[in-house]
Amino acid sequence: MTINYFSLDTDKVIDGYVMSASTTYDFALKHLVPLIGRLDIQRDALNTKFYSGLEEDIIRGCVMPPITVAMIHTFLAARKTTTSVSNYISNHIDSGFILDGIQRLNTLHRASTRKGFDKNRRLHINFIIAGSRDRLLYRMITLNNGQKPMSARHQIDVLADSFFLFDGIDIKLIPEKGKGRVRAPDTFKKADFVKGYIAYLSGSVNIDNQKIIEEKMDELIASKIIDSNIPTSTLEFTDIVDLVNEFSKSEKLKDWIRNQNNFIGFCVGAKNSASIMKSTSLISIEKAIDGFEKAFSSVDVSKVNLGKARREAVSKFIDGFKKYAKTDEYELIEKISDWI
Amino acid sequence: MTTTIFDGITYSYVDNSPAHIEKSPQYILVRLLYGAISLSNGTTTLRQKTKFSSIPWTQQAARPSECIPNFLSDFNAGTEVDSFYRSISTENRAFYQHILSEFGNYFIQTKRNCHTAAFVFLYRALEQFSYSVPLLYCSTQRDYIGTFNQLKSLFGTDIKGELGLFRKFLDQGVFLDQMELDTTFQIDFVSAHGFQNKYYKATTDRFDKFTQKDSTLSQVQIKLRHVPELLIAIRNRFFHHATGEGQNNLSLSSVPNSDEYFGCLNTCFCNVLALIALQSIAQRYKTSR
Repeated sequence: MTINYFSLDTDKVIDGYVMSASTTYDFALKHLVPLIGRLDIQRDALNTKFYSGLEEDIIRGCVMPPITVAMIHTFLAARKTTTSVSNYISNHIDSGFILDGIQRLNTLHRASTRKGFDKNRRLHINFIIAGSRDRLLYRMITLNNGQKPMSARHQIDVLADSFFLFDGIDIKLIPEKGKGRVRAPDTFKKADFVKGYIAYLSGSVNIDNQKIIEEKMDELIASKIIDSNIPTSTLEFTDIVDLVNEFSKSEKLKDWIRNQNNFIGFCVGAKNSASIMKSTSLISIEKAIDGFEKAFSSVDVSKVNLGKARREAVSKFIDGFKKYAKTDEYELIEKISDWI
Repeated sequence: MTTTIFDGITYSYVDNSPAHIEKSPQYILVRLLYGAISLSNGTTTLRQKTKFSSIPWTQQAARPSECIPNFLSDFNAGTEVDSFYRSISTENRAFYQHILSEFGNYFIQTKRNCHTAAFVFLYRALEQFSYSVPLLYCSTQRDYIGTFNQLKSLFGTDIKGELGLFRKFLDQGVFLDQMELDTTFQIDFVSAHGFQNKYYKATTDRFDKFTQKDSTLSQVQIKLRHVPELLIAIRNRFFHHATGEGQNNLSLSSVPNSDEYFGCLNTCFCNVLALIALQSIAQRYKTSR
């Protein structure tokens, strides 16, 4: 048999069974993909660009989170053993419904036609067997009620919270709530930090725009992240955080990087120059930043959106740090007015 | 109630904005595109409640009196409400009055479900923008180093006419930023007569810059930066029907109900043109003190 069954559990509320299992992509393509669309209450398959990222990843060998397949059947009281349930599943797989994972299966289907697809890799499945369609629907609704796809921004927010623990280093993040209080030295608004991280991931400084509605903005950021080279890059955001920590040894740089726009621009620009900057002395960086600020001050501030211009200019300057650190003021002015 | 008439269309609103400001076509235009005004040409009357200043358009939920402060902050105009009111009444009156009337007529024709006629006004607005907006923009830049290079790149290359210049201008990403230009709009072809697939095919056969196409749902997605090109392409294919030139013009068998067809497209076009109009107004006041 091509399904491996792991464990069986009873769902007392809907009087059903939950079985975890795994199978091969090959089996999934033959038996599960055709189930898409069986349930008329289900969503249409989305043919969006977002899943093309997953398609790539499948070829490269990612593991997808389990999909959920539902079946409707009432077992006789005596027959609820792992074997009987798994036998039932194996024999009736073609009458199941895909409860969760339609987009994943669809993407798998598209990936299967591509070169380099390994049909022997494993797909994890949870089976839910309920006594009736109503009960199944009840389970679906209680699971997904109020479900809203977690936006890219929200996911990053959560990750940033748990991944970057700043204990023992010189940046103290303060949550938005503490905003009204004194701006103590060494502190950094958490929201700014998250923005910097998003900017870094998406490789773009224009990450907030009041005109674009939030949903569209999240979509845009997500598509920029998918297009970026994060999975193949050797640089990690922690490298940039390290650099920022280095900066805090210099009073001047510490103040400079604490500016939200400088920080965001820096996060994007340092993607390409982190290693060069790491090997540059703080004094030289200070000097370069001084030169930049001098040139930037010639920009006529009333004519441009200053914050946006600053982000853009900082990111380009840091990006080409090696080149621009020694550029003279007038040349730099010209460069800056090209950038913004 | 405050009322004002421009080119035969009466605009009216109720709130306590400064006296006489209604004489400024720019002010009326901002309110119109923000969805905070009623308009009438005598036979057709409507309240415009869609907010065309966001990407994509949404229903206007804010109070009408907040429309100008919101506009100034959304578009980073960098000026205060009072000084905005002071300077808005006199400048570029003729230009914005023309633009206002194109949009006014668009909304009235749309209300009447005459979407083909409505489209004409959008196209006319685009033609007026094509030459004026790049110039308006350059005139607001006092940083000559940058402007020179921009002008040089605008005029220096092989550009076909004013519309080509405008396309190039938009693409530079200085007027509307790159993030805005990359935002996508979804266009759904729907038809009460089952023509949605014809509309879909008629469009996708003549324009290939959609980021996504779905023939089963008759749905396409397009980046904001390509919307003016789509508008021009459709205009060129629909409003000409000389058969000899082999231009693949739109026949009425491929677009059986043109009002229905343009109804699917117009809101998206209007959104992009509204953003351009509003940005051009905001841009102007970035320099005023």
